[in-house]
Amino acid sequence: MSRGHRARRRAAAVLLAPAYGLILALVLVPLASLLAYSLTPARVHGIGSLALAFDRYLRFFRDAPSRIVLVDSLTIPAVATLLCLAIGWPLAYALAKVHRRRGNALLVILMTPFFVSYLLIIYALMGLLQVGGPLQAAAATLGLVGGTQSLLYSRGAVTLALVYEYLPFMVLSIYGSLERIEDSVLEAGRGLGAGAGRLFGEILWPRSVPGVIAGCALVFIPATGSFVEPQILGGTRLSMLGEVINAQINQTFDLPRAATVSLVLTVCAVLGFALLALALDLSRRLARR
Amino acid sequence: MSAPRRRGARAGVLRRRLWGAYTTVVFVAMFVPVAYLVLMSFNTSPYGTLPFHPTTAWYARLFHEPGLAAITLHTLAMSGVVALACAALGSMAAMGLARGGLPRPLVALLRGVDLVPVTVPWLVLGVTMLLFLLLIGSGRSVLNLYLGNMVVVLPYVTILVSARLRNERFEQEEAGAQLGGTPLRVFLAITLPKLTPSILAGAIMAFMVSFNNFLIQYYLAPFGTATLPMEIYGLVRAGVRPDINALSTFLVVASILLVLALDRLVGIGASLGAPRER
Repeated sequence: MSRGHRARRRAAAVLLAPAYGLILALVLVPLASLLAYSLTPARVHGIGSLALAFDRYLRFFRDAPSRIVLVDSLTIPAVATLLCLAIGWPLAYALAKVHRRRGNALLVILMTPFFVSYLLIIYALMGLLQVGGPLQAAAATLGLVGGTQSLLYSRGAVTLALVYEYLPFMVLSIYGSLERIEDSVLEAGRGLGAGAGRLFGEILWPRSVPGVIAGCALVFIPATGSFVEPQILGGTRLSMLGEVINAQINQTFDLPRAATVSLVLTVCAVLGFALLALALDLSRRLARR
Repeated sequence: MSAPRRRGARAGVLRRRLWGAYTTVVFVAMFVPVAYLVLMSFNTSPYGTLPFHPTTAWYARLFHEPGLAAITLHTLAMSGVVALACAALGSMAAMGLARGGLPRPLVALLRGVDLVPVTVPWLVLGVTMLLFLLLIGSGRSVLNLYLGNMVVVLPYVTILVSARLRNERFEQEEAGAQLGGTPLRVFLAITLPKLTPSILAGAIMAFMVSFNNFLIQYYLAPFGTATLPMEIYGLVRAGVRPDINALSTFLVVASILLVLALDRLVGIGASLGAPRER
């Protein structure tokens, strides 16, 4: 190895050390230590053994309320992700391929609510959905709900909040991949007599799948960690694991159990996303044949 | 012009109209909550319900809220420090990745590491950091609050500056080096000016995200220290409070200005890690 090359690498190490040192010390090592933390024996037991340590995981999965909360923590974000995809894909297409000249400006506008604190979005939805709030009043006028029936404290309210918070991420990811498709390809398809359905099935959808997968990662995984949304908009009727973790940190001070639930949540979120990504990739491969 | 072709053109216009209608509907729906907050900040009813009777009383009350100004200033200062530190560390990391001559798999690994703080739910990150800090005998503190906010937004700067380094050609750097410039001089005279827009964009991004990062602040702020999002959370939990509407109107306006600044510095597509050839 040449002298210059070695000096360059030493310089690179100096440049990289602070940033990645910080991520290593505050993200990677703590995530790894979460497992150790969750396996520390409970305060009451005193003696530590592996069986006792795994006991915390066994108890979590044996407990029926915990299982219900786990299912809600995965299905509510999953529904929100699919809604973001259903609303966001056509929107990204419209911005990237139909209103191309104004597409970028419109994306900027779409970004604005993302930068306004999401707590304020939740707060606004609380006002809109309450009895007498504009949305509830509109739904009552249309006869969809009773006049005194609140739209709050439901899975629908939590899902709606998640869609509001995360839709811009989905649109941005898909926009990037749709924008790269050359117009000549679409024109050629149209010229050869392909209808909208075939253009979508054979060109647009398969080519947008990488963007869709990235969008799902940016929506589904963070959404599983919600705690303010179910707390404020879900009320006491439903709960997500984020709320459980928060209660263990701030109310019962059961830190090893908080570590256990955090780990269960993270692993389930990543597995759920992996399943979603596999299904999406499969759809791309089937379309390509 | 032949008849089928004219029919095709008319179908094209119809197609554009339909897509335009769809886009409008989604955009209007997206802005309903924000518009509602701004509207209600001028409404007399304290419960966020119609009818609309205009007033500016909530703004007057907001300015008399004790402590809110100090909390806002503290949160601004914190986000500023975090943004500056991230701008420095993130640009350094991006330079090291792009120009360090490191083996490709290592560079790919480090770029993957950058995605961890961005995708892991912030609740889990906040709780994990707190548990780890307690384990090593530290815990909630101002220093940890700053470091925790930094580690979450640092990757944004690295990703943005990396995208710029990849898209730009840097023959001038080579020329500068061959003419005998030291690496530092080449960097200051040629590379840094070219990177400035994306470093600034990264810093603005870092500022906005750490200003709003309730979950990280909630778990790392020392007891007795509140940030603005923590204060908003407290107000929201207490129920409907009209002065939050007035406060959010200010935040909405500030956000719009910062988003516009971000877009002028780099295309918005590049600012969330989806670099575009320009």
